[in-house]
Order: sequence, then C-alpha cells, then structure tokens
Amino acid sequence: MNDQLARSLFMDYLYDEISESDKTKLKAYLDKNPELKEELSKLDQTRSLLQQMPEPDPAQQLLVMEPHERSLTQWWTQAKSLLPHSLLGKTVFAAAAGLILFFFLGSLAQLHIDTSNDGVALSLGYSPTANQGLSQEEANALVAQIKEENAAMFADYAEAINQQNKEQLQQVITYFEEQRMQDLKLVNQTLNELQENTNYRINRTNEYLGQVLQTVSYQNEN
Amino acid sequence: MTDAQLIQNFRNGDIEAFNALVNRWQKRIHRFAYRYFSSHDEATEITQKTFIRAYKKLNTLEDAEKFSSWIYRIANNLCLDEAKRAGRRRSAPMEALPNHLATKDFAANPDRQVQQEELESILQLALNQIPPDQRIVVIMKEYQGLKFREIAEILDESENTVKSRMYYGLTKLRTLFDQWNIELEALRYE
Repeated sequence: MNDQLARSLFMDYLYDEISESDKTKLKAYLDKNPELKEELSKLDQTRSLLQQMPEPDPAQQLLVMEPHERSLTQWWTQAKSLLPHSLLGKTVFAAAAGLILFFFLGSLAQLHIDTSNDGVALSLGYSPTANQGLSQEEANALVAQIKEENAAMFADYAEAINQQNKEQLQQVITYFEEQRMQDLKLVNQTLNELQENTNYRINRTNEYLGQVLQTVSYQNEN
Repeated sequence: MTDAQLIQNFRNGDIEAFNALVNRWQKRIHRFAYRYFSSHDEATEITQKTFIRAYKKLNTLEDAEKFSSWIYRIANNLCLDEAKRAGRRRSAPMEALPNHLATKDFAANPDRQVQQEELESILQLALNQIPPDQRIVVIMKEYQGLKFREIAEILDESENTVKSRMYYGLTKLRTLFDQWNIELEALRYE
C-alpha cells in the first residue's frame, strides 16, 4: 500500500463501506504514517462538524389531487341514496315528480286549461274561445255596419290622398316658379354687367381717339 | 408497502398510491434541496417540481426498484437547472460569516458556545463555498445517507469519481474550518 491507495480508501473507511481486509491493511499502514492518520482524523472531525447541522423540515405537506370522475353506476347509487325509503315518502315523491313532469311537458306543448259552465277544456298550441252565436238580423246589421264603416274609411282615405297630391303639386309649381325667377335675375344681372363692360370699352376707345387726334393736330401745327 | 408496489398501484389508477410516495419522500427531497440552496422557499419549489415531474413521468420508469435513484436524479437536475437559471453560484459571500467569527473573536474565546442558528449558518456557508459537484456528493452522503454506489448511479458517474469528489469536498471544508478557526469542541451548543 502507498499514500495514494490509502487516501482512496479514506471515504470507504469513514463511511463504513470498507471491507474487513482493506480496513486491516489501511490501519496497519496508518500506524506507520502518522501524517496520513492525522489527515484522516481531521476529515472525520469535519464529518462530525457537518453532522451538527439541524435537519430542516418542509413547512407543508404536498398532496396530489386529481378530479374525481364518477362512473354512471356510482352516480346512480349516490342518487338512489337520496330517495325516500318509506312507502308514504315514495308515494309523495312519485306524485310530486309526476306533477312536475306534467307541467313541464305541458309548458313545452303549450297546454291550456280553461274552465266554464260547460266543464273543463284542455287544448294544445292555442287557447280555445267560446262561440257566443249571432242571429241573422244581427249578422246583417253587423255586415251593413262594417260596409258603412269601410265606405267611410275609403272616402276619407281617397280625400286624404287627393289632398296630399294637391299639396305635392303645389310644392312642385312653387319650386319651378322660384327657379324661373332666379334664372331671370341671373340673366338680367349678366346683361347689366355686359352693358357696363361695353360702355366702359367705348369710353376708353373715345379717350384714346381724342388723345390721338390731339397729338396729330399738335404735330401739324409744329 | 414498498415503493415499487406503490408505483404499480399508481400505474393501475390509484392516485392515493402516489400520495403515499409523496408522503414518504417529501422530507428527503426537501432536505436535499434545502442543503443545496439553503432556502426553504426554493427547497419547497424544487420539491414541488420534483413530484410534479415524477407524476408525469412515472410511467416511463422502467425499473420500479430504482425509484430512489430516479427521484433523486430528478431533484438533482432541477437543482442544477434552477442554479443555472438564477445565473449565480449558490454560495453565500464570505461577508455572511458572523463578525465575531470572521475576526477570530471566536477563536480567542474557545469556551463560547455557539447558538443554533449561528451553527447552521456557519456550516451552510462552508457547504456553499465548495464546488457544486462536490457539494452534491457531500449532501447526498452526509445528509441523505446514500451509499457511494447509489450516488454514482444517481449522478451517472463511477464510484471512484464520487469518492474522489467526497474526499476533496471534505478536505475543502476542513480547510475552511481551519481558516475560520472552528473546532468541533467549540461548536457544541446548549
């Protein structure tokens, strides 16, 4: 054994993972090499120091939770446990369930229940109305009244339409009249401007001619 | 019930079997992470992540008898990832050493008894001073009580490499304690 081999056994020795034969050899070698023995002793002291460290513990316990999926059988078993067990309880429960089911289906089918002197009427989808009945004279009077009302209504309607057409025609006439007046004003204004412009040019021409004549006569005199 | 049996039950759909595993291993993983980061918050986070990953990957564990090595490997990888992510070496500065120890006042008064929290901070400080690969081995050996063979399996290294790291780790710690004039007798507390 040499120093390197001895050191390679230090860890096995310190942590008691060394074989008996190696331990015997190492001890024998250390007895002859006090420096190595001292080194091993210091390492052992270091271990002892490290063991002084208190052990920390987690503050909370971890727990893995997974959504619990109930099977249909489990669901039914749990639901059954909520049902009443006595005969009276079962009867009341069945009656209540039937009533709820009846009203639920009735609301879906638009069930109507009407009571009268003749009895109870059940209907689906619409509410029945009782037929009171009319005599022939009353019916004729009712028809005549409806006709009169209709005739009056149509007359009012025609008059209203006629009045509306007149108003619209009047508006159109007024509109075109205003347009015509505006056009005439515009034409008149344009003619005035043209007249003024022509007069101005004539005046300017006369001025130039006067100046020319004056210049010519002056030259002839000289 | 063994870990392997619990794993088998979990694979058969028994969620409580995994809770039993968590209950059995939580303290060990927490202590392991705490020794690495010296922080309860980070140790708790690493512990949670370890079991979340284990929950997701447990079906990939081929040999259920090796759950111990497997769960430690997950925790160790998470510690290394976290240390890398944090971008800093997980060691406390020398200034963190209590003043009376740093000024050798401690050595001048060998009869003085160190309080519990001081002792813990000194030892943790020393532990944080050694390189991470040596620190991991020291933690696993000294505080988790694993065999060198088991540590080698977790770290995927040879036993000789693990023993070598342990030797150098202890030597480095011894040197630090000598520098700080700390002796075992002086660290005994009430």
